[in-house]
Amino acid sequence: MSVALRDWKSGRPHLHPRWRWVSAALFVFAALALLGQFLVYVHYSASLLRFPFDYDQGEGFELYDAVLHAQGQWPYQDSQVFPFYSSIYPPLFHLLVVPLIWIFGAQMWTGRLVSFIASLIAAGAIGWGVQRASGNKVIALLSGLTFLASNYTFHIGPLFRQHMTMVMFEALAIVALAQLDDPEPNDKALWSGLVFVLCAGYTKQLALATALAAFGFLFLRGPRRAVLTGVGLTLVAGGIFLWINLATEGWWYTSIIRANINAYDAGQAVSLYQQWASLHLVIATVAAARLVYEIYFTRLSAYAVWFAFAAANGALSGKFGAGEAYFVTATAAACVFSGVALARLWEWSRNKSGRWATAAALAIPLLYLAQTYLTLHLYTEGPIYEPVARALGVSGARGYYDSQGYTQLGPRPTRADHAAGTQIAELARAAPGPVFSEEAGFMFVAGKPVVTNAFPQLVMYQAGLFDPAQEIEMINRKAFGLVIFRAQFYPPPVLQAIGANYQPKREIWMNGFLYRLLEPRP
Amino acid sequence: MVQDVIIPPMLPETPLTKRQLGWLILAAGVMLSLAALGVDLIGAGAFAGLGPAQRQALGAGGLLMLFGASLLPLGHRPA
Repeated sequence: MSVALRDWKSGRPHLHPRWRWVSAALFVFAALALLGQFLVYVHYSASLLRFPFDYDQGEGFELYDAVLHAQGQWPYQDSQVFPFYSSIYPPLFHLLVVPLIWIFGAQMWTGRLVSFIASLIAAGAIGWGVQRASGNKVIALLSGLTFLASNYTFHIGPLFRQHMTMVMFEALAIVALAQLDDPEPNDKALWSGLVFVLCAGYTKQLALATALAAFGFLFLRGPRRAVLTGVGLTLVAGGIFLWINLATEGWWYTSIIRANINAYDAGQAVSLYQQWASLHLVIATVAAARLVYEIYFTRLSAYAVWFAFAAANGALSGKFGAGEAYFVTATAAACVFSGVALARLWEWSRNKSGRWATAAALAIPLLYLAQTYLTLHLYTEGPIYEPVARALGVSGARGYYDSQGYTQLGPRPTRADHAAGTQIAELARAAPGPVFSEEAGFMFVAGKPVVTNAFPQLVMYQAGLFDPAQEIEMINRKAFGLVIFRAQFYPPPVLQAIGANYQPKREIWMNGFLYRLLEPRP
Repeated sequence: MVQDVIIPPMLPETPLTKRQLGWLILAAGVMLSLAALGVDLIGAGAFAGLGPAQRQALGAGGLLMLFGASLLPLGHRPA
């Protein structure tokens, strides 16, 4: 029986029955609050599953990566020649989507569903890790739900992006490796942990920090085993890397490694650290306190090492193009590690004097309630949300409140957004020849080929890896029947060529963004 | 102590101690600091004197050394 449930049934010996009931009520309240946030997450995810266009810029290109894989082609190509496309992400997430593409075709919901399920599995892994480490099912449940209630998980979880699948593999890896501290560890935990590390790395490069954390933990427990498994995994990962690089004539290395070395802005990283710490203050503080305790007073656990590496990895968020997603791993690590810490505190306080027992019994659920409040986000319109938002005293633009403040992600696409997307896709369909679009989602609906991948082009241009001569030559010939801009993340010479050869045709708002459509000048 | 193998493994299978971890972190801090100072010797520094990235690296190296040193008194407890 769960430690917490047992305590409530049999009673904590030094806890007054009145405080026992207050504590139980607070735990129920915290669970209900987190469950409420989870339902908002499900609602948001369901809204995105029905939306066939890009909600977050780049989703359509990830769909195209999956389509290319489904056709047996690599998306790592020379982007200097038509269709000027290359992917800068590893293939595993897209390969997981491939079966759905084969069955249902190139649909935006396929990858969003995979990503949403990945977030649930990551939350399950967090809960399972806490439960295995402490035996406390209640705090395990709260820890998993706290991950799903994070603003960052909420924003990114149901997108057609590879990030959440990487976090899922990372969480599974660390939870598996943590089992090596069991009284009777088995090799299955080690090997499954290593396989998950490999999967995480081939989902997104950012998983390097978790790989280092995994081997750091193995090194603490036994340097020889860590070195041997590290060499083994490096050989396997390196072999796969070389194979793909040979198969793509070197474009894999160019796209995955060289194109991802971007300009760094320390101010951006500091700003994102501040935002993450303020939104996740409770779990980050508890995890940091537990880290100090484990460093100086007991053994470092797998979760401690993961939290330290994941939090440090947030420094990479200063890269050009990086954002809050770089802190989702740190959030997952903070959830599981703070959960273990609080579950241990709960157990420690069991046989303490009445004051300590009471303090722990009340503080732990209150901490989860405080954390839920810090990451509060919900819709503010509709028969259910409106009274709830009013009761909580919150309001926001576009019918959505987010404790993070302004955020591009979170509001549900409206009917007007659907209509706007359809209108843009119809204009693309009617345009002669290929369409130069900053978002690929319209192309799938319009039945047009995907041409260009804006952001990778820009970063590769900045790194001296992309010569836009051929693309500009086609623009000068007005070979594209229509140009669709959102953020204009193209190399400056490409934008100048478009400005010289194309004129405004229409401006359409969708999801809070102005899409500028341009047609060839006469 | 009697070894049950002819050639003992170069790397121990026993868990790392706090003191060993402290030495490793301290060494990492020293190496980071030396690397930060050494970039000028190979002409990689873009600034005259210490550049901002070098100062940050030196600061990080110093913190690592302090952190590593703080673990040394913890002795042979498992890390």
